[in-house]
Amino acid sequence: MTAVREQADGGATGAEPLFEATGLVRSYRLARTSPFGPPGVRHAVRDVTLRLADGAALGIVGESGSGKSTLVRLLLGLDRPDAGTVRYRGRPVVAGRPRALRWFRREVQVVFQDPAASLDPRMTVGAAVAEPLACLGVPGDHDERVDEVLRAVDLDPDVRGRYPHEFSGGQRQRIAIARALAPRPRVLVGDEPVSALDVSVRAQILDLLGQLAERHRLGLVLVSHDLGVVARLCDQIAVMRGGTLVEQGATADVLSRPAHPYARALLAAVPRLPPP
Amino acid sequence: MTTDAAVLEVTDLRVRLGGVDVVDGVSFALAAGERLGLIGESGSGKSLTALAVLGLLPAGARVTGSVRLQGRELLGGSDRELSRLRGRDLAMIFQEPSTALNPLMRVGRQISEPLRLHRGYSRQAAARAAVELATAVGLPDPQRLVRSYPHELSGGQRQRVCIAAALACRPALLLADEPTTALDVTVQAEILALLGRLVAEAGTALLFITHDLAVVAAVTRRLAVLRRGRVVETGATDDVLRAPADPHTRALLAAARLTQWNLPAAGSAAARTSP
Amino acid sequence: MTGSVGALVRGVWGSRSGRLGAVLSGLVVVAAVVSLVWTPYDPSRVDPAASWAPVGTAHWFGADRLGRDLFSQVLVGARTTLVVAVAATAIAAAVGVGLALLATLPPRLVAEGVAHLVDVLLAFPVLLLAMVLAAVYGGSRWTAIVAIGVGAGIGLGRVTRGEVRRVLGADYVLAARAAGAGTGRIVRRHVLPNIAPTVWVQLSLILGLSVLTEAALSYLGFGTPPPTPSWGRMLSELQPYLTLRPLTLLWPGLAVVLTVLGFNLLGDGLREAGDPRLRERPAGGSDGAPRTAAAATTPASTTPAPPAPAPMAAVAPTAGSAPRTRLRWVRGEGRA
Ligand SMILES: Nc1ncnc2c1ncn2[C@@H]1O[C@H](COP(=O)(O)OP(=O)(O)OP(=O)(O)O)[C@@H](O)[C@H]1O
Ligand SMILES: Nc1ncnc2c1ncn2[C@@H]1O[C@H](COP(=O)(O)OP(=O)(O)OP(=O)(O)O)[C@@H](O)[C@H]1O
Ligand SMILES: [Mg+2]
Ligand SMILES: [Mg+2]
Repeated sequence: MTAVREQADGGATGAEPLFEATGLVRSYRLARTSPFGPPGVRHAVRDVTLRLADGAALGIVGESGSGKSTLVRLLLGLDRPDAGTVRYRGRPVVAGRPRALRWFRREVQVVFQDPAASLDPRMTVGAAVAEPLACLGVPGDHDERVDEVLRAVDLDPDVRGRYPHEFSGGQRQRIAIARALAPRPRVLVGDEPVSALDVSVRAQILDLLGQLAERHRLGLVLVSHDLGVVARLCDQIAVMRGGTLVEQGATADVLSRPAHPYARALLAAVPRLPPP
Repeated sequence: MTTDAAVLEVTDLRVRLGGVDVVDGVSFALAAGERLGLIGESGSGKSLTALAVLGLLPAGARVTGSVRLQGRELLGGSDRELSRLRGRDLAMIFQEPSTALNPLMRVGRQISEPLRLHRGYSRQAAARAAVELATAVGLPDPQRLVRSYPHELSGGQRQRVCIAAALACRPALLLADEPTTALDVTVQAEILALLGRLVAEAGTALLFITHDLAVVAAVTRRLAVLRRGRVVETGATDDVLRAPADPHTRALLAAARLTQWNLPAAGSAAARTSP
Repeated sequence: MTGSVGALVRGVWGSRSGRLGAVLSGLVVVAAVVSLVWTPYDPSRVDPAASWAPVGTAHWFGADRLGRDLFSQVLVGARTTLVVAVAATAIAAAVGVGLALLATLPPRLVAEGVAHLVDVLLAFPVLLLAMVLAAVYGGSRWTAIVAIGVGAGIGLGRVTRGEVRRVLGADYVLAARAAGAGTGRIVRRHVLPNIAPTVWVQLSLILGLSVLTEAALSYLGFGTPPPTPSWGRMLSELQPYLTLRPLTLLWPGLAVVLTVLGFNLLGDGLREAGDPRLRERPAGGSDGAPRTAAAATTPASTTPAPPAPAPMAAVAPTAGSAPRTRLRWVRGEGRA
């Protein structure tokens, strides 16, 4: 079922991968449909193995409900897998006491799918963006850094004192991106990080991420429905469906010669602008 | 009302929030069965325009102008009157599904609530309708899904729950605020087809807000471009996208073409080759 | 949170209920403070000549059977009431929030144990607790304070537990964990601010309730012992003359009622002023189509949103939303 291509290991053949997930499984118990029926089980992620080399960029595309966000939570040690392991720089990443994972959080930051829900309604934007800096004890002037990242995502630093509900959807998403970039992570995990952005801001954010990747070897794990985003930033791509990776390989290969029928359907369904 | 009269007529709509006109004199009209696209940069006032039509602006907002639904003025109407219309004659798909769903209510009930409220459905009929609607928006295992709570769904599933609830009463006017951002392109295509059928069969007038210019090209006939609360350009979708008059629209399109992924050329694909 | 105290005060004063609550509660505080330095008479001075003196210039509220001045007693009683109410509420806050955190944060086994303990303790009446304490330590103001505080705190813990669970399950807590926040920080920066609205309302109810309970306990003889005047004791001493001298009972009764009302209104005002979103949340949806029409169901609030003014009304902005002169972060000048 899995059409794995040669370079499936993120082009890191031989070298120790930076980020590695092996045999991840996560299922959820579901509500019973009848009082006496068995409780259902949904296999959100089944047997997913991923590797990310230092400075590499992996795009994850896939059907809605295929387990991408669940996978992201597992990768970040925010949820316990039923089976499988996640390793970063060879050290296991296990969900548990928050303090135990600080070494990992210093290097890996995340932008969640739903910016409205992932910002505390009672915390000002400035405090929210500064939160990772404060939590991780990042050296340097935090206020300055907050201004810097807000400017980088095209928001006026004056917005610091405002609350998330005072922003538009796209502005909230940019706040979430600024917050993730603030502590200068080595790896940025994004769950649809640019879905709410208009095309020009999106282009700007993609440029920013591209630059960070180039200059500072920022690693990327990007979940996106937008193949344009993945094609632009990611050298590796994984196609997810029903909890498994049905295809992975170099982006150019997979996009030009998709092997799995779902990948083909996905490519065929991309809406296109009329030619100018 | 004659059939060709406007379902929605917005005239000189102004929304003032915190001393700034975030919507600044917007006018447009929508006939039955018509599909109007509303695009524009982030923060240009698209969502607030839709919320103003719905009468759900944040408290503290001042609104002036006129919003007529089927000839009836909505601005200044009592909340009671409006809530009788909401969900029945006009419905909205919200940009951020998590904020529109009640975390403590099973999604099936949330889907069918408009039917119970406005159409007097019995509990059983509503439950059946919820399953049908969930099936219509392509939710997997609908029998079971309607019994789950919002936090048990994926982002795209939640968005489809909102869509199903908005479509439940086949409203005369549907305000869709980025209804497919959390959906992959295959599901998106299904949802767009479903909206198309609703418009064709029920004569729903559709206001479609999106960032995705390719989607707007596929869905709508007419297009209005918003910038800083003003309509800077309006016209047939094809014309606007082919030859935009406003420089900002042009910039928007250029950016869209830049980030668009192109099938065979794949020239820009993997622009950054791994070391 | 410290920087927002000023905003909180302005917000409370801005809402009608908050202002009324502040005025009424302020009156009690003023009465208590004044009683420290001045009362028309010594409240416990017996003056047979003034027995059942009528309301007048000599005795503003009249006098009781022993000729003690009622106005002086009400003034000094305010002190007792305030001390008991505030101290009991502070204990309740600590006990309640503490129990709620203990019932959610520690490992499952411990948390569930605490949760069950709370459920069992809930069945234990405050009165019984006060009687036990009074039997062991003798009835005093402190037995009343501790009994009321602990009793109400357990109830508060039960209510708050659900709120804490809700906040801990929210996406923004997950995001905070992903950002590197430890448990302490999550509690301080996310849980406490987000349960605050519920806790404020509960505490204002407890404040009012403790005024009543103190009165009841003193009335029954388990609270403030004589000769310290308290509204409860006044009520209990005057009660035999209810039919003969109804007016005398009016004063302590009115004092209790107005104080309870004031505290409750103040709590409402605090809750509204402390929530950045209450200005935003539209009123719609308490009836009409909730979800399709929306935001009606605030994910972050189980307390019903107060009837905000209809957002449609094209009139002046609602109080509390400070006018802002500019929105400069709106996208910068056109980019090519
Ligand atoms: N807490 C939960 N309880 C039960 N089922 C869950 C829970 N969380 C997720 N699921 C289910 O697991 C599956 C995968 O969900 P996930 O959120 O990972 O999907 P996704 O790939 O991110 O989809 P989308 O693109 O729509 O966001 C879905 O079918 C969802 O219904
Ligand atoms: N409650 C509020 N208080 C103050 N300003 C607000 C509030 N809500 C929105 N705004 C501002 O109004 C402007 C328009 O917001 P709106 O949500 O309509 O944008 P939008 O066009 O939908 O953008 P997006 O595409 O990013 O969702 C934004 O600049 C936003 O910051
Ligand atoms: Mg997801
Ligand atoms: Mg919007």
